[in-house]
This record gives sequence, C-alpha cells and structure tokens, in this order.
Amino acid sequence: MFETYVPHRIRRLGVSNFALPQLTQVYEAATVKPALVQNRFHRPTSFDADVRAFCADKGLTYQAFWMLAHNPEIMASELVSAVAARLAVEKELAFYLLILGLGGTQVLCGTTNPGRMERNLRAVADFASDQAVRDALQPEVEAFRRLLQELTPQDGEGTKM
Amino acid sequence: MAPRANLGFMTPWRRGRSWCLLPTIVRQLDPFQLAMTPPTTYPRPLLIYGTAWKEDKTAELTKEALVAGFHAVDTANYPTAYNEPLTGDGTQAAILSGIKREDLFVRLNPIDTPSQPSATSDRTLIRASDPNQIHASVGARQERDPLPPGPGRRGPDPGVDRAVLRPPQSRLPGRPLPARAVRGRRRQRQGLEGV
Repeated sequence: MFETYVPHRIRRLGVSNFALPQLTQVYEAATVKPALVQNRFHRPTSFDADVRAFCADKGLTYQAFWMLAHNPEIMASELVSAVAARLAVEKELAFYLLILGLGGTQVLCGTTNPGRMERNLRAVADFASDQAVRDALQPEVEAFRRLLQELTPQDGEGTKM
Repeated sequence: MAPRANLGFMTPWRRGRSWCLLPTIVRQLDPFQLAMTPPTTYPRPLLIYGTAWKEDKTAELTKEALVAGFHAVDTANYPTAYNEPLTGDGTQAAILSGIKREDLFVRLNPIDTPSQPSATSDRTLIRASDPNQIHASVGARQERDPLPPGPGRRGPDPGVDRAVLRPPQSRLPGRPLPARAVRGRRRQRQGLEGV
C-alpha cells in the first residue's frame, strides 16, 4: 500500500525491527523493495549478522540503534577503549565508528549535548572523507567482528530471532 | 590496477572479454572460492539524529542538531518515545535559519503498532492493512508538516524522504527485553524504543 506513494510522496521505504525471515518475506513480496532496515543492534539478536549479510547482498542500508545502553560487554571491552584512546574520542563514538566500519551501515545518534553532536559529526565526517582514517580502523573493525561473534549467544544460551 | 597476485587468475577471463572490466571483477573475486564479495559501501549520511526521548525539547534539539551539521532526522508517530510534530517544528526552524531542505533527509515511521498504548497518544492508531488509514496518514503529514520551498530543489518535494514500516508488534516474540539500560521512568514502563 505504501508502495503507491513512492517516489512522489515518499522517496524510499524501509523497515524496522525486522528479523531475517520477515525481511526476506517482505523483500520478496514487495514491488518497491525496502531500501533500509532499522534494527536494534544488540546481543539478543546476535547483532543481526544474518540481517546485515542480507542487506549487504541486496544493497540495503542497515541502520543501527539501541546500541550504547544495551551493549555493556562491548562498551566495557578493551577494543572499544583502545579505539577511543587511539582516536582520542569518547568510547560511545568509538563504538559508532566500529559499527560504521562494518560497511553498509548507518548509526542513530540521539545525543542532547551540543559539544558531543559536533565531535561526533566531525569524527564521522573524517571517517567518510578520508580513506586513511578508514584504513587505519580496519584492523580494529576486524577485531570488532570477532568480538561480535564471541558475544553471539550460542544455542540454548539465548534467543536468536 | 589489480593486485599482481590476481593477474594469473585473470588470464582465462581474457579470452573474448574486455580487459576494461577485469580489474573491478577481480578485486571482488575470492580466488579460492570463486565467490563474489560485495565491496564495502558507506551510505550517506552515516549519522542520523535520533529524536526519541527528547520530549518537550524535541524541536530545540532537532534544530540544534541540523544546524550543527546532521543531515538526517529520525522520528516516528510513536508518542511514547517521539514527538513527531515537534521534530517537524525543529526541522522547519532549521530550514528557516538557513539549512537547505534538499540537504536534509527526513525519516518517519508512519504506522502505530498495537503495542502503542493509545492512552498516551493523541493520534488515531493506523493499521497497515487499512488503505484508508494509510492514505489519511500520509495525506495528513503533507498538510501538517509543510516545508518551505528551497532553491535548487530537484523536482517536487516529496515531504518524506523515507518511511519505515514496523511489524505489528514492536517487541517481537522471543526477543527478551534487555534488563538494563532503560533510562527514565517512561522508558522503564514501556521498555521499548530508544536510541
């Protein structure tokens, strides 16, 4: 139904809080394919590894939210501290950059602090515009992928959507 | 130029094929599994301003974020967490202060879900299965959130850059509610959205 509004009233459609089976179903059934998936990025959904792989395969953007307050293991990790220290940024921003480093991703940032808005925008702009910044982050992004895998609930340990 | 290690691998491809396509193909090809690896892409913008939980400061903070340099705003017709009208006010205030509409990306979630308690909502719940309600919702947004015309706009303003559809239940079955980190009484009570 919403498809009839694209693109004159609504430029693109996206979906939110979709697990892979739902996403696959909608993607296959839709005439106007979703361009974006906005999901919680956290441990109970195994950090959406399967959804992100689907997005990468189909060219969809994966938009992460719910991160900062719901990933205590990542926020407490040595990796995030190390990235934050290397870039001289807050750990929250280091976490954002690692998610962006995964590729095909966007991050929702809801800070109310003007200084943090500017610092986050500046760091992300550097990331977007400077290949050297992205290259320097790559080993840490690989370590981040491994960390996500380590934190992924094993069978029986948690629920995977 | 493709890495030299791949040149030998490229050789069979030369027959009957144009050279000009090969460097791209080979860069993406895993020589061991013959699988295509999609190149890493970075969507723009990378950072979206989330307007959830800003309550009566939503307009002020939305404007501040856009003036600071955010190009994208996320909101929803989900009054527990978002204030969509105030997000519109903040967006319009940013535009009136010089931010160009064509540089902005406005995103909203048009459907209320059954998990949305109607007691906290001043809106009529919209159901995705009802075409009349969808028409009413999208039409109402056009009238409620008119954006001033800007120079250099290509084509008519669609009003909404992206609409995001949610499944009937925000909290999917089997997805445990995270025990931690739901700040504030409202969030604890609802235990749902937050960014």
